[in-house]
Amino acid sequence: MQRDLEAQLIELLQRLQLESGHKLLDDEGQLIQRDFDENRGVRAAALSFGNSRPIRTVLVATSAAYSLTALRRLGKLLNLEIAAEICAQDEQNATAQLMNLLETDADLFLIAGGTDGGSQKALRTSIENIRVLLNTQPRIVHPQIVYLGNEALGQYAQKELDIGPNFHLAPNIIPVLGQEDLLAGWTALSAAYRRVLLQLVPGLSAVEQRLATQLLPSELCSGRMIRLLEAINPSGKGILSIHLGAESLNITAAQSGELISCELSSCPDPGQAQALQRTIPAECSLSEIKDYLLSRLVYPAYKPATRQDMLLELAWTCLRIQNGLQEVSTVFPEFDYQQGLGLYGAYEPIILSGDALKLLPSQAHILLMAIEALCPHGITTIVLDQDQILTALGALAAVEPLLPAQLIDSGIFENLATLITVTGPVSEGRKMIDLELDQGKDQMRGLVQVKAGEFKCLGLEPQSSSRLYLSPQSQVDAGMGQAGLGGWLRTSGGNLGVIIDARGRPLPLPGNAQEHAKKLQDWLNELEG
Amino acid sequence: MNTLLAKSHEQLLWPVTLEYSGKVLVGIGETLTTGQPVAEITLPDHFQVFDLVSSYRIHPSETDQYLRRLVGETIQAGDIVAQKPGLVTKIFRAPQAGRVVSIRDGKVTLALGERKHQALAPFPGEVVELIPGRGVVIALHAAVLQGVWGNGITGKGPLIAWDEAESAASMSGGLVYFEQAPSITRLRRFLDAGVAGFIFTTILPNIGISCKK
Repeated sequence: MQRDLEAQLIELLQRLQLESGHKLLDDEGQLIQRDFDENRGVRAAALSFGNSRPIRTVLVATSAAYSLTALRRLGKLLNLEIAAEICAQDEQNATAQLMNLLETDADLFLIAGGTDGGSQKALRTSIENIRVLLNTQPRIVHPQIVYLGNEALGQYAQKELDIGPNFHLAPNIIPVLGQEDLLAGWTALSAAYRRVLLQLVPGLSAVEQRLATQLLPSELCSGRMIRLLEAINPSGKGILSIHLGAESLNITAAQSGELISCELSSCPDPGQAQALQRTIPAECSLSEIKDYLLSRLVYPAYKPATRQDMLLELAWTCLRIQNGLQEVSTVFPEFDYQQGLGLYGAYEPIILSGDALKLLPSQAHILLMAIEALCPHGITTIVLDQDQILTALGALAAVEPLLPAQLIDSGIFENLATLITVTGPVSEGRKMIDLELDQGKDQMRGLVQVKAGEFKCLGLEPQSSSRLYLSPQSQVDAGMGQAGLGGWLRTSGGNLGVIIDARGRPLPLPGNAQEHAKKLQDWLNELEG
Repeated sequence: MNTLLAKSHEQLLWPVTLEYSGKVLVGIGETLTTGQPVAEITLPDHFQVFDLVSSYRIHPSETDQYLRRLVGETIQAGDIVAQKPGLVTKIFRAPQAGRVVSIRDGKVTLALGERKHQALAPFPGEVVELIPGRGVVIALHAAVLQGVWGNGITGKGPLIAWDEAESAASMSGGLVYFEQAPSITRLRRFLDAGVAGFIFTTILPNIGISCKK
């Protein structure tokens, strides 16, 4: 008894029309796209779609070491559930492989056949097995096949399978041994994913027709924007985006032109109650934690009503991100995250978004949670994409390429804070770093000393620009390139200022819930001034 | 997210469909009983791939000489599918009834056995719409009670409000409604007695986890 998707779209457009005063719909309720002018209609519409239900997928590769690893990484770009992994060269016999395929009931097959000019025999057997499967199982949802090399067999696979638009031929993701090009497979994978979604989600094709556009997976849209941001990032660092949906988590990063992306199902899991109990800054029994997680599972829109609920939500959100980061680093070791020790990879800014953040009471809570979850090293900026505009811009980039660049220049994110993490072998209470704050000609320069174990916030005027001189102790790393190295840092004032985190990595959280609660309150007080 | 719904004398239109393109067994206007098949399809139970090239030590281009069946032909258990004459004749017989589904690159693939998939009417009603090849839409007038959470398993039986005075055995086969959250021990007792399902106004987390399992 779910509401019709098309009806929901019309309702949204009507609301947008009312709030903006810009006429979007004609008298028949159709989106005005032809006779548009500055008062009515739109030049083009774009549609992004985030799917919370993972698509059952089979990975078929020639070798475990190369093509299967590449496929796993490619598969992480979208919300896929890997039902089976078939390594054509290792498979014992064709019958076992075929039976394995039969049991998967998959909607999507990703085939990677190794380097161009590589062996073909084993892959031909797998293609034949998929052909038999498709011909003997007349499923209502037509499975989609994405072929990602080797190129010598591409035409053969297309001809043998003979499934028309359900076959998607992509360039080889491993053109030569040791070289991986995941982005080469992105377009074909997105097209296949779209066709599966149109079949699985009732009303989605009607929405496409009404908007006269083709949907794009939201993961692709945000990935596109993260890559753009990385390309124009003046700091030369990578960009990291963490999107916390009610039931899913998307972590996307771009660094040196390479994209790292993981879409993960992340439903509240009462089985994680014990792990959560260790991190909650309050006395909570296992039963209370399970109760909370189950309530969140049943009601994704559940809002924390009590202080204990809020602390549970804070800890659960933090654990979700940590689990996600761990998963990303398993598939993409270059992401450079170590559980407990934190994120070593240089990313600035780190963009947070998603409905789950709206459940936290303040920006200070969001920032504290993010720091605890990520444990970043060095210097970074944490920003909020409150209206989730990144995905929308990524979708619009396909129809209006200049628009994202113009909007990014106008400052679409809310700057929470600049975070400077100082680490080094200094015992608690001893000096780690001296800072000199220069807020402009008319202001006195401020001097601040930060000791090991401290968490300090330097309040700055939002949107203001200032300079900060970092002078760390000889063995202390303040993110300037090496331990002991200091220098001037230009910062723009975030809502919560500049944070100096000298608490160390891993974050020393008190084992005692009461002490933990007190520490949390101290840190919140520091942030909220 | 589901919302709580409770309506009486509601017309319910309920699609019952297969996941495969099969055969619809009923017609519009037909009255259905609970559990009646409305559509079905028979699929192979399993497959067998026989590699003639390696078994007979022949070149793939010679395959046709030794094959006794064509693609699409039905076979019975014991039928000869391929045969290589010689001093010792090598014969490949169908281990089970089925069909030859592919001959490629010197390999013969047989689809063997049968696996029937049926879409069953979950409750009595009238067929008001045919979904070609997939199933039907059933209509009935009923009270609708939609909860916010379920464990995904279906059960059917008369709706019974739990009464402490009555034994678990007397509620066997029913859908039992509890006004208060029962204990796990009590639920197990009801399950052992053969209760078809439970309806709760509220549940404790450990019961929710047990129900999910």
